[in-house]
Amino acid sequence: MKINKVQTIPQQRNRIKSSAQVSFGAKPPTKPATYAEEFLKLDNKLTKFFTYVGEHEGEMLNTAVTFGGTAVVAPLFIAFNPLSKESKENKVYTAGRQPISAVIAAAFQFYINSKFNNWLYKTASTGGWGPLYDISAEPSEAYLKRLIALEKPNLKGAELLEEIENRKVTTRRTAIAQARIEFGQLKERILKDGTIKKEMPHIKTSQMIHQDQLGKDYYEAVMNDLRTQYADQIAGMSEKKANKFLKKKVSSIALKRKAIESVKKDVEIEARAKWVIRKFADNSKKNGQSMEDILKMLNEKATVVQNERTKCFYEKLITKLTKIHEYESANNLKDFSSVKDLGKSKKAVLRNVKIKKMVRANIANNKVRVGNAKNAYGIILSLVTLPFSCGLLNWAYPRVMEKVMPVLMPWIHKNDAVEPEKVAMAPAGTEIEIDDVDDIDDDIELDELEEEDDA
Amino acid sequence: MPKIPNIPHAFLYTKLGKAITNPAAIGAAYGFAQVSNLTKDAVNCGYYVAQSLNNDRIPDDKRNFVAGMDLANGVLNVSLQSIVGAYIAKNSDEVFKTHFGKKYFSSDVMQKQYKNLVNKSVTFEEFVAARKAKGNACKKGFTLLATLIGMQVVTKRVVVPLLSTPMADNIKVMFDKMQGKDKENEEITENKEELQIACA
Repeated sequence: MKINKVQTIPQQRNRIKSSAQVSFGAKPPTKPATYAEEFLKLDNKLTKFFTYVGEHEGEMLNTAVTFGGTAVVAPLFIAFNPLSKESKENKVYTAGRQPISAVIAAAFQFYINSKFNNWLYKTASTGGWGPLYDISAEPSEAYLKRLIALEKPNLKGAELLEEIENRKVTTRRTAIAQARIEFGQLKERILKDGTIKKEMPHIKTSQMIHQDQLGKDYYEAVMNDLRTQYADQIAGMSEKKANKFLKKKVSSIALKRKAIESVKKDVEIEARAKWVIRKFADNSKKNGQSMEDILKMLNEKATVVQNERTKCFYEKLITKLTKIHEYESANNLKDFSSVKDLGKSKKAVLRNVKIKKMVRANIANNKVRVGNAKNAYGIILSLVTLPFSCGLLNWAYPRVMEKVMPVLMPWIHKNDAVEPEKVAMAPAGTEIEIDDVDDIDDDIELDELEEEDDA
Repeated sequence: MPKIPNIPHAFLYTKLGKAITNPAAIGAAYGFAQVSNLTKDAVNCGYYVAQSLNNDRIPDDKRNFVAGMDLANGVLNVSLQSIVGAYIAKNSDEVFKTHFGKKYFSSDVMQKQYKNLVNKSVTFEEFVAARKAKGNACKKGFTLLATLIGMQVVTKRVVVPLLSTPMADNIKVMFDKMQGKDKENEEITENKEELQIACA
């Protein structure tokens, strides 16, 4: 305690001297523990809300918005519609149907869709939907939460999110390792002339493309190519008109070709960069060259390079080395100690990079497929539940309105309980003079009138 | 016990199933939302009209108006929602860029944010890529919400009831004609004229 007092006094003095604002009792700002936490804090409530909506698209969101509109907004605009000539009672009776149908439809759809979605994602996370819908390499968050709840039930908040991320990284690495084993073995291929050839399985570049990004990442590049191709035709047009004209010419084949070209270039540059880093690591052990010296040398070389492709290569190399350097400095590791050995030759490194890209693209494509399947089945399930929700509405609506209408419009049903007034009758034998035919009650038959005349 | 075929699984591997779930073909979440809402509205319309017309529990004088309302709602829902949904989906990207994109996801803002980061365990390029991905998810959510609210709340619950209630009046007259209820009204007026002649 004494030592603490002595230690705090100089700090207090400095604090009073240096800052004009001295706040008593205020807590010092806590440093965010991880980059992940800092990244999450960059968003405000509105952007977080929109991101949440975007990530949870599907029938559940549709149902929620529909419920709000049907139960709250619709009845008001039916009951108080000035354009309709129907009686107030009819309008209120009709408007009452909306909240009843909203509650019934929402109950059915929420229940069935949530059950189905859980089953779909659980089965997909364990590979039960076959190879096209297999997301076991990066299972859904709900599935992982359930697994973690069984093993570590006390995790919450940021710790839980970190555990989920760690598990995703582990399953992804396992999938990549399995793919390396599968694609690293020689496979037999029967040629046209009947001979058997043993070779490594070929990895197509199209298997490395993230298909849902086709229309986004490569769209501008394809548009630029089309601009040069159709330069004569769009010469006199305004920018908007020219874009409209070129948009129609963009085909899925052109996008795919651009994607293949771009991915092939990226893969080759990455493989070359990884090979060179491996060489640097081996050489640094012999000549003691530090990471910082190498980065300095590379930065100088990068400024001089003219060729576009070589420039991309240097950028990639510098980025990768910087990342490794920062990771090693943060964890007090020796230079190049975290560099992995990806292969004994350039070809082996290229193959490993291709396998990694293929597995990642497979995960991304399968995730989009499962999301689309969820949406498609959501529509089908909502249609299947319609007869049941309509039937229940048909049964419930008149019964509920019988109870509710006297409460909503008491003046209409006020006289139902009152006895009908007794009308004074004229004594028997009195002649009744009929001045106008219109006085005759419509219910009296003509025959009755003729009988009176005869009498 | 015989093995129950997993029909949802089998359907996903048919040509149609693969086409629906193709990640390259379908890029927009709001496409699904529109298809879902329009299909449900069309099928709902058929069910509700048929059931309202045959529901004896609804009082006689109200039944045809309720059924007329359902039919008017169905027709207006499908036609107006498809127009409004397509218009909003086309133009919401621009609105997002002007109001949110520049404020939260522009390159100047990202540079400032990266400068202020305490834990710089990623490169600036990776940070920008992650923020851009967040921006795209945000834009997707904004467009989805704008389309859903535009279709399901504004068009379906405000505009359509305003237009369908008077339209239901006319459809009620049509239903009355189809069921012969208009002829009962005509007979009563014919009797009145005969009485006038007989008693004159």
